[in-house]
Amino acid sequence: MKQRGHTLIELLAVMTASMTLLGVAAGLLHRALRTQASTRHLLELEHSGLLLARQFRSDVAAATDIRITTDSPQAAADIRTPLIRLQLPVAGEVVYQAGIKALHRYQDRRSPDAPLHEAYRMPAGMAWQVEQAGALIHLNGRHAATTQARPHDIDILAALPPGLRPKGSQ
Amino acid sequence: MRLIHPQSSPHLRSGISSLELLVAGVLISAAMATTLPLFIQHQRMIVMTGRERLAVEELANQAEQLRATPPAQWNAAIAALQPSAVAVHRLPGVRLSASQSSTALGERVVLAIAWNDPGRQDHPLTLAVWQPLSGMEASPQ
Repeated sequence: MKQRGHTLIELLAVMTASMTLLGVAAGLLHRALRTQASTRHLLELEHSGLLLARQFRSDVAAATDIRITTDSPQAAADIRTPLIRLQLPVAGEVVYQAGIKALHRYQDRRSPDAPLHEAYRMPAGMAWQVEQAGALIHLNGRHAATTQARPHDIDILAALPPGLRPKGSQ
Repeated sequence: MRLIHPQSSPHLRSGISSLELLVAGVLISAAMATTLPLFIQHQRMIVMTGRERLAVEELANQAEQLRATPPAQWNAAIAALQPSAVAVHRLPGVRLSASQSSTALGERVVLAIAWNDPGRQDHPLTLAVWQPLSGMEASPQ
């Protein structure tokens, strides 16, 4: 029996196999791209948290006057009220303020080591609070929708300069 | 699957041989076996990176608490050293320890934190806090 070309079944089998392989390859590629994007985002948040901690501790250590302006958790919706105001010898007044997806730091005067405005990128929906705990200032950021600890929650303790007592909310 | 044109080969056949199936199966298995562990390892690395950041923050917070304590009370503060609730919750098997030593420059306290990640029990993260002798302010290094 002579046969020319391919049978319909053979073509169907080849197409099915090719589509399956293509599907698997496309799925892996898609997952790899998503993984890369989420990893970059996570690392940015980790880095941002470390930078914020370093800057906040440095500001508190150098402060000559501190005013805690809110004593209740400040959600991103209420971004007009600063969390804390610090008076620094070189930078002038420094203000920390919550944003939609960031914690902002503003300062009056340009100092050699810091720009006038910095935004520390954070997950959306964080609620921020600054409180005094003995001789420490506690800055914490929690996800507003849950009371459980999340990977990017922020807990920063900063020792007050000797003899300095922060003023309360006004 | 190899398709044979009837005029180019004396053997007419349809379907797939076992050898072809085996080769295809081996190739797909090799590709999957290479990529899947990468994804798993990647997820594990993300978790470990988050724990590292948390451990660094825990050490820095403990150092700040120590700095806020009068040097005369450092011994009692070191004896009462406890990891925070967040660290206990998120770092499996977390252990916090401190060792104090007197040097020519002043008192030096080394804080160390270890937890159950590969290598972290044998090589804990450490942070040193100094209380200089001559009226200088203590600072973590």
